[in-house]
Amino acid sequence: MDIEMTAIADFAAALLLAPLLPGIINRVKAFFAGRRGQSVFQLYYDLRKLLAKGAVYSSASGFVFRLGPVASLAALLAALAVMPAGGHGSLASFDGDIILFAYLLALSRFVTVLAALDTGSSFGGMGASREVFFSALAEPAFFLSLAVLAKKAGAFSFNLIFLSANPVTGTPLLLVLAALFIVFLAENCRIPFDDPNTHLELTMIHEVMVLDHSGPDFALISYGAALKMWLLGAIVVRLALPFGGGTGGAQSPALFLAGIFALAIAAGIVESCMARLRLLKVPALLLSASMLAFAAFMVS
Amino acid sequence: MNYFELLAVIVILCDVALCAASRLRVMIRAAAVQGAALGLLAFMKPVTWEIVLLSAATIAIKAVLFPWLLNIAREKSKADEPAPYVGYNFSFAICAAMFGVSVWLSHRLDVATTLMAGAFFTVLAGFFVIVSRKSAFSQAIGYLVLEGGVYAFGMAMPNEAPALVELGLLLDVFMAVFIMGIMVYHISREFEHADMAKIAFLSDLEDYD
Repeated sequence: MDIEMTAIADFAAALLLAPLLPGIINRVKAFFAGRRGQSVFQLYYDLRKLLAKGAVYSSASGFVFRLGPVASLAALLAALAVMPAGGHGSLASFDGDIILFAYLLALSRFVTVLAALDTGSSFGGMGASREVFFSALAEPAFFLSLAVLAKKAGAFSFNLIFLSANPVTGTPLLLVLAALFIVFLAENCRIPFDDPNTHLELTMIHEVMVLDHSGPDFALISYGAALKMWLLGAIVVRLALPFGGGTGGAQSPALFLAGIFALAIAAGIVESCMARLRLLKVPALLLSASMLAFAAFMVS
Repeated sequence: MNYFELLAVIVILCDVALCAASRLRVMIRAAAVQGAALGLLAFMKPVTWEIVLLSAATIAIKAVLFPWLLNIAREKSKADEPAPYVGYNFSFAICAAMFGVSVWLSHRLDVATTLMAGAFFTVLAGFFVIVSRKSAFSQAIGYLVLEGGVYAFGMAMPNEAPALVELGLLLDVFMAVFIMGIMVYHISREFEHADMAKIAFLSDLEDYD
């Protein structure tokens, strides 16, 4: 039962530490801009404040709007259960859980989009349309990357892939990592796809979709976003760092934490060095991520 | 890590960048990076003086001289790259298809290495750039890339490369791109653009525009 205890510990660590990631990214951006920046714990303070508030519901919106944040977070928690987001195995594991993981993320987005459409606000619809468009383009890149991993490990389960004695190495690994990092930025609505700090509704993508949520609902959404960053970052980190195959490898939680915080710093550096892409250029970047993954699939 | 495989993948990625780039500068840079990778690939073969010469000549011509010449011509002409016949995003789909065909071809040849697939892909990408772009600059780059594919094919063949043939080919391409560069330069000076779709007649009786 030793493995299960570590899986529970990893699950709890993800729940507790996920809100640190946006804090780290903001801190890195502030550093590059020459500011002191907000505390890395800012999201924790925000969450506490939001949870203490009441929610405001528009009379035009129905139950879908109220359901959205809860269902979205539930889907992400379920996804966290099958993802070995820590130094060890995952809480649950079965053949095909990588497919389930991808579609749990999609489900989480789907209910958020429905909630945005339910408000009847034109901004919500606009953001929803963009979000779905970009995620539809990011999906081939994500699935092709997963296909590379599954092909090499001969299994459709994250646990078996990451603990495989025959891990992806060399050139295919570099290609898959590049593709997954682009997907990581796109799915988490970071620059160069979306600017989480923008103040103009017309240029927003994800933020405009959740504009109408308030109080505890918005807390769930912000927390869900941090959790999603942890989830997708976990794939990149588990692949990039030598966790070792089989049972003899270094399965150290400290290594994983160092990796995921380094990934947040990398995302912060990308955000500090680049501007957002023009909306018309975004498909090209996502398609090139798909090409990277496709090349990796052919080479591996 | 196998460095030659990494170089082969760089060649492939440069092809993708070439097919989907909208800016001439990016295309020239991608072709230059690809030329450097191809030059280093020559060391896959048993190292002889010919191979060292081939590698040095390839890098000097493809990664330094051509990009430099093309950049000068590009800056002089100040012409915008006209929209291609095939859209940039759709080019990615075509790239994926071409890459699939290349992998299939390399399996048919029983030389299923990354470099062999990359060689076929580079030839196809060169052809694709030539037919899909309107500007004479891009077409010249496509021609250059096409030759890079032939060179990569020579490198990917398991038996020893006739380095003399490769060197001769490089000389041919050097002359061709040199002449192309001069012609494109004069065309763009004369017509203020290098859009091959508009230069369809040689006669001056009809408007060329």
